[in-house]
Amino acid sequence: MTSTNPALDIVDLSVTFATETGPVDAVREVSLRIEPGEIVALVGESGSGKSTVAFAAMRLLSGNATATGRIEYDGIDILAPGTVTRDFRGRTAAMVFQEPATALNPLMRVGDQVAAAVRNHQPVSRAEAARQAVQLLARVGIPEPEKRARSFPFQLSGGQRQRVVIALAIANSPKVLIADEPTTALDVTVQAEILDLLRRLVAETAMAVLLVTHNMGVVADLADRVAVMRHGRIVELGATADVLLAPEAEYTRQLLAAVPRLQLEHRGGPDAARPDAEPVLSLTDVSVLYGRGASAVHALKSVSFDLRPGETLGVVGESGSGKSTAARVALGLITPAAGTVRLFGQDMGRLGTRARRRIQGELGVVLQDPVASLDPRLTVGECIAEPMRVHRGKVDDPGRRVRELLDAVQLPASVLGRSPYELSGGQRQRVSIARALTLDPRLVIADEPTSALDVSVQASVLAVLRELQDDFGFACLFVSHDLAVIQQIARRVVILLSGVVEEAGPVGETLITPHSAYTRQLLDAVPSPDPVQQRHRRELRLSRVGGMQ
Amino acid sequence: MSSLSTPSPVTPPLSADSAGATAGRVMLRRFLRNRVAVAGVVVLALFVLFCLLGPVLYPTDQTRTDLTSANLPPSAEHWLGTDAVGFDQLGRLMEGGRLSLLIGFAAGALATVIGTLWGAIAGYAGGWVDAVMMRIVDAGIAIPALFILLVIAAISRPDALGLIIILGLVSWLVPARLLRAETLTLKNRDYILTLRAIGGSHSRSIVHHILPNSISTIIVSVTFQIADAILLVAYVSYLGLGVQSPATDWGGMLSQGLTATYSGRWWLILPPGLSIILVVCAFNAIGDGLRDASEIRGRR
Repeated sequence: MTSTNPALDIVDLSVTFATETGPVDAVREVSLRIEPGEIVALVGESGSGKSTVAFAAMRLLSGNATATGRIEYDGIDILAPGTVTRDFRGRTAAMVFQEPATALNPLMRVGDQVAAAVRNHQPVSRAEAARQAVQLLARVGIPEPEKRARSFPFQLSGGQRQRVVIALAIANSPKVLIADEPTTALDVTVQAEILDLLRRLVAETAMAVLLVTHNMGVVADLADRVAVMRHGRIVELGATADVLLAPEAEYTRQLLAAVPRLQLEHRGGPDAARPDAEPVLSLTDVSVLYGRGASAVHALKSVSFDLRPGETLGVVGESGSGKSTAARVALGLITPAAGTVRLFGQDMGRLGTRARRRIQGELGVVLQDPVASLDPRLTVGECIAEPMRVHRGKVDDPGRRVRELLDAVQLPASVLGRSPYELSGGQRQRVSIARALTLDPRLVIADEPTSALDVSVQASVLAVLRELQDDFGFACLFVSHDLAVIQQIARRVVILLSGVVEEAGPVGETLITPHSAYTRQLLDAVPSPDPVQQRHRRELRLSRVGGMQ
Repeated sequence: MSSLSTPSPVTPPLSADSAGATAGRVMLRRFLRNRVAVAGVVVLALFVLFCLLGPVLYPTDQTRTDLTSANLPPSAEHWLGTDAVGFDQLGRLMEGGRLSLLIGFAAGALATVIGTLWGAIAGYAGGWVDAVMMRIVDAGIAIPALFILLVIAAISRPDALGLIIILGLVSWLVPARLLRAETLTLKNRDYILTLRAIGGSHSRSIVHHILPNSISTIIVSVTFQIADAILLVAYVSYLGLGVQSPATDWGGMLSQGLTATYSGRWWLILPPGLSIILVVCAFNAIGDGLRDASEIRGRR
């Protein structure tokens, strides 16, 4: 700890990938220095090169990458030949990956995996390694570590798995921990716990942490300093509070402006829907079962909600809450085990095929994955026109309609003949929205339409969606895990927990002054991109959690 | 509307050129880099030219026997000699090759068409329909195709068309399995779900989306099927159950030449044998090359 050297010193790092379409410069002359006990965040949007820096720092770049510059750990440049020994990964630097489900060996008990990591670097007996493994599991906050050490990864929750991955990383007390989006695959409440754990470990061990993330809230919560990356370069580097509260670079300002922020106070304004109008979508006591017999799982249990014309209803929940199942039931893709689904006043379970199809023509659909939501073998124009092929005769001039829609989602007409391949994620999602609006639907069902997108792209896609809703007047069922996004776009909200409606009501009330403890917990766990506010929120959350126990 | 002025990365330039070629072009480039596969294409093209254009440049009589010029060794007049009934061997190689290739192509294509539809429907329908359809495939695979083929050929003495149909009917099982697997991964893609949700029909899902997206699997499968079919025709004809004289194919020529094994008339055996080996290897090389080339990451 008295070392005068920085724990990690990256100097003029450039990384070039040789690809089939020529060399790609992923990282250009990045310099970054991390002192022991310091947490430095590397933020940026997809393609900014932030993960490449992390992989280069672990010497884990793929074979077609060439790195130049220097990456020094305690004065030793690991890009020089012969400097990476077996002890480098594990004792000097260790990595926590994004997806805990694939970072662990599914066929090996977690205790054995941690013990193996210990024995890889320390000459200890099996029994001693097993004892240390249990200690490590305890240290990362796994309850009943002796018992849990004998579990297989699939028996643990996502958050517990990520704790095990962290235990693996710290097993040999590395000087530098590199965490690549360590909480991105986790729910917000779990994310908050993992961030608490990382903070505690750094305080205890004086490890240096390089944290790669796209989430400004995570940065505000955890990092001492932050480097903002774009197109492979660092555009701004400074103390977290300075960068997030008074950004100097134009790009940082734009990025921060696009981050959806959770409103903490009531803004006023009318929240009530038109209760008189007949609902366009209504679920009554809907239950959905996955599986059969004793092993059946209730994905939804007696869920009821209404959606009125022109209104946006947000459906929120963590993974496994049944929110996507609810959307799929509304779309008619899943037949409920009990209860009724009414679309435009008609009971979908009682309609014949033809009447059902006619009603489905009034629906628009936008799904999550911008890669899988458009058929790569069609052109953009064909994708948008497809609903008109399914429901012939509903639109007089399909060609003109497609051009109008492209215009409405603010894409140039030149994309018509292109393959979805050639578009960016945000552009593809706009094409999906255009396709959803082709038949002038009365109801659009959107399942996490922006969660795979970068924040700036998300902001523009949400803006397009809102504007179109004003113009076309469709109702919208908007499923999301992101409370801030729901607050921006929805008027009423339904919060699902384990397939049950936990709370429902106007967004302005429910997401500001919730009645249910779970909603409160959910709201508290959302990290704010304002570091000062976030510190305050964290203390508030920890005191509430402490008070509950 | 003010929020529309969000940061610039929302509309990156449409990068057809910088992001590189489309999937098809990438696939072609990878294929061309595979020397063995390209060699396969060249060999196959040469054989097709040889069989189709050869008779124009080197006309021979392949219908009337000529016992006066039987069993001649290669000479200026008969480049590859003649067989036991006086047919010119080089001309016969073209004639037999035409039939071998025709039957191979047609039977391979037929098997792939049947298998593709069967597999796509089974995979798409799922549930008990899938279970029944795939158990039929399992049962079919359990019986050796060659055995069924020989029994049918022995009973009916088929002509070329008959052989195509029989070969097609015994070899569609493997493509059916391939397509079922492919369909299972495709049918839950968001674009299919979207189409289903707005009332698109099952047939539209399969014909407009699943089959076009399985095209690389189908093409790879068809090349291997053709190679197999050419071999199967050769087996059947070799055993004397193939097309009847004076029509012939390479397997039939091999069978005739067998009697000449110990008399040193190599020109009756080597040319058809080598032709079969070369063409089957060429198809397999092409299939391998196509399979490797179509494994594009992110090809969804």
